[in-house]
Amino acid sequence: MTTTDRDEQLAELLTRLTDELRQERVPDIEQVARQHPELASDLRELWTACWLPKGWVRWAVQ
Amino acid sequence: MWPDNTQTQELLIRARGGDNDAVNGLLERHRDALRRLVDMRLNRVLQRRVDASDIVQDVLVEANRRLQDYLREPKLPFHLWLRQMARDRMIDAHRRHRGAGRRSLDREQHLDVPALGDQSAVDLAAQLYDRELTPAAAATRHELERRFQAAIAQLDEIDREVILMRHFEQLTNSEVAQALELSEPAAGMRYLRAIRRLRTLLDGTTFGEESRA
Repeated sequence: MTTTDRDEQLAELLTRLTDELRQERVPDIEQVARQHPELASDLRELWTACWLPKGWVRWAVQ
Repeated sequence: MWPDNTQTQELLIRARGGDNDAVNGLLERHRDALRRLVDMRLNRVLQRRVDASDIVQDVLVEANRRLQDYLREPKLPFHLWLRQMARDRMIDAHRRHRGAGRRSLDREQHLDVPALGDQSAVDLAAQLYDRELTPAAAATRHELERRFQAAIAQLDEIDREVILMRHFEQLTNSEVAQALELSEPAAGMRYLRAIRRLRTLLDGTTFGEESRA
């Protein structure tokens, strides 16, 4: 997989996951990571920034 | 952030049929969202010179004036159409004040930088969570917000724009693509780039370790 292919796939996944967040759903990031093991590391790392604006407080309270 | 689209569509249908109450309802229900948008995007220096409510009012007056054209040929979803007018008004306000020979606004703060210490972005975030926080949790939250805003302020304009559109305005990727006149994959790639940079900036604050402690 080229870097461009990888980024395009990552962008598509993040778009789908953040659209789910917008609909007040909590995406199962681990399930998605298992489905895309080649992207799992990037996905987990970026996800913390993706959901931070919306979830920061919930995270802080836990 | 933007009002429910189903109701907006119903009002648009009634407005097309000449229902003036629907027109008023349509505009009024977007007033608060427009105000939040302007508060979030207008830089702090400009906020001292321009009344955000005047910009919102101007946008609603313009929307009312141009509504029949919009209804005949809606090229954008209604909220994105309003958003575009608000954005144009903010750019005009910025140019007007700079053009009048007043001291440079650019040096103080960029147009799109959310004002640090200004609670606008925080107010939006506050709608999303349980309001019953312990004092300790509230202090942590405040620190998280401060760090997040600092990171956002360090992003370049293009990255900041897409982050604000996705996370504060709560636009879908499809709506971002329409507003920025990009294809959906291109909007997704722009978001990916912005998130990568934001993540790097947040890493610099050791955000994760401290907030979990």
